[in-house]
Amino acid sequence: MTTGNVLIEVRDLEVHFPIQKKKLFSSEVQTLRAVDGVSFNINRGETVGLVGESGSGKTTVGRAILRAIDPTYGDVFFHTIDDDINVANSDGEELRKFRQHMNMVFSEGPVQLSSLAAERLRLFRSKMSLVFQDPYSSLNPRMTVRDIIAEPLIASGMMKDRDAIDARVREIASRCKLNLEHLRRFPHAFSGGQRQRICIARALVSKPDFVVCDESVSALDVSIQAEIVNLLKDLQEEMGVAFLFIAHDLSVVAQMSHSVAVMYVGKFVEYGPTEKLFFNPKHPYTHALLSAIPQADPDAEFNPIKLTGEIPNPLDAPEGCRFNTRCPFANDRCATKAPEWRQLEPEHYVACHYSETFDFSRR
Amino acid sequence: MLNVENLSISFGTDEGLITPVQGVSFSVEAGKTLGLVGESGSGKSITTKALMRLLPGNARLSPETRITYRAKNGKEIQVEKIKPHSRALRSLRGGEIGMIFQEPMASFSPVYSVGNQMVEAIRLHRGCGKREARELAVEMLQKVGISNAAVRIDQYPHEMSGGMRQRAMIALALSAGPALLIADEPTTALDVTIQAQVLDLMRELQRDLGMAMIFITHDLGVIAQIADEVAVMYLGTIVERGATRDVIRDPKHPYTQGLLKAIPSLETLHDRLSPVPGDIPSPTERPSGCPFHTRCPDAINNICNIKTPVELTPAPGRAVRCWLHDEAQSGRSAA
Repeated sequence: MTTGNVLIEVRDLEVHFPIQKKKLFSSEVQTLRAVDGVSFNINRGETVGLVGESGSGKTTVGRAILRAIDPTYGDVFFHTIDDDINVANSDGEELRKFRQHMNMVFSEGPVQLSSLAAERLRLFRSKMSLVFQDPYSSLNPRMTVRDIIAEPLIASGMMKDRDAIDARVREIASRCKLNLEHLRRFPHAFSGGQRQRICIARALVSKPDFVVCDESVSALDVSIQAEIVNLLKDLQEEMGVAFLFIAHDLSVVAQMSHSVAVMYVGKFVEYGPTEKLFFNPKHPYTHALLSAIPQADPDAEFNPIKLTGEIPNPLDAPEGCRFNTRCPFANDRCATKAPEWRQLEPEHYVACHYSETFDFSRR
Repeated sequence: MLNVENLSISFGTDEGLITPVQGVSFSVEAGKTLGLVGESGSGKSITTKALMRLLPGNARLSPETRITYRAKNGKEIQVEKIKPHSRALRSLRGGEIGMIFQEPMASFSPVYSVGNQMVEAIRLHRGCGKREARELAVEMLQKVGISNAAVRIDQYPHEMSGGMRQRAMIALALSAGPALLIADEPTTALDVTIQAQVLDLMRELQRDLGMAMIFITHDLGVIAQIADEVAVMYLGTIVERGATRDVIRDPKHPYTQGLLKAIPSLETLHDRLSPVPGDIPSPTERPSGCPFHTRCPDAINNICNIKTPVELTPAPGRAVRCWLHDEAQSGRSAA
């Protein structure tokens, strides 16, 4: 299977969590469909933005791709530079070859992550990584910055030689604009922005092809946030790494991403190139999200689309279109029939019955 | 109605005396909204906590501090002189000045129902009976847009969603009928669509009830929507003050200018953002002179790093603490 530039291919991904409801004499198990059928591709060296409100399942998508959570259903393919070994079903000679490549050039593929066994997954993890939201709680206070950054190299067994590890740590630290003198210090001595740079260095030290940034700039102050966004963009250009950039702040996503997916209660409602999605959204929810961002301009019209009510509980998602309970355009059809995930234009997908009739363009 | 002069707050810590708020002066007019913007650690929250005397025990107000509050009955209160645990302080908190916090879950008690907590506040401040208080609470919940308020009132905070809890928090603060509401990042933890709802609600309530508001946030976008006046804080000092529109249109302080430039815009995609260079200094190593000189692109050598700027008036109704606007110091035109 040749898919050109595609690095990660997500097909019909579903993640369910069993929720036990205890009653007096019995218990009832309900299924929470945190992610309910999501498909998209991430190209090599590009950024896909993932936006949505809290509880929409953004983080779960990110973690399921990394196999930090096991997907319930669906496939995640990791395409390597050449094609056609499905590591998930291979063993013996092929696997040995695969492992060698893991440690060297890594030139086999596609790898079906969603069913990779634990041991193989560990090797694989050096190719993907994660940057968390809170730079305070995601750094071990008892480890020096150098040890924190070196950890992925040691954990994956990629490097054993101390000098080689040191050299790599210093290289990545200077790329992330960390002061090399500070490598011997402990994380408590650093400010939020510096800590986030340490987290980014740790994520990139194994030279991964793919990094999930889960709300990585949301906790930072505006003046620092801009710097981290610029750093991530520079690193992407230099190292060719692909990002899944999860955030609830649409304006940051707009700066970072090549394409953007909008999630609502476990499903994608719209996915397309950033330009199209931001200037000509085709789903009422995307439009409402965009209109709800207060602009720092006292003369700008601020007329948020009033979405009545609350985000539905995913345990008890509405029938039909999940957005129908809050959508200003919803009618009977929306309440009964779930809209298909369909292609509107090349690269632009939407799940709404009436997308053609909307004109939400902002230019 | 509220006038704050020379507010300085120090804390005695293991690492010595730190002064997170230094010489802050501002005033709030009745029925108006003052926006307080600043990044984390700039002292926004501490400033407003001082107004309600909610500072922790190791905090010290400087002797020059004057906080004058005109109460609902027209009497002027010197807030910094009120004795702790006094009746006057109790009526000030909640009754005169209400407060809503960023994390509503943290300000509700989890073991009492929302109604219970509201009834307690109403009875304390309005001195009415149980039944009357309950009716008032239901009415308040309806006013903030909680549907089915008569049922919701008996729910516990954990049974509500984030947006609803924040509404209930607003209802709780308003139920005591304050003349001034301090809102400490009330929408930061909320999703954008819910944030839009809450902002709308607060504007509406303010119009109806005619109360004054101090709105703390780090989001200049929110300020642009809600505040009449804005004060920009950096490391415990107000660096710029003025009508919201003027400050955003024509920022005078390099920090305000930097902040505005750093905001990612929805209009220009894929542009490089312009960050304010450097990191926010920690409160223990406050820079000498102008606190912003370490990150300021226009800092004047031998002035900004030595002398603390005084408050200047570059235009009517504006105030800025920056030597660039002082002709004698910068050697250039103040305009």
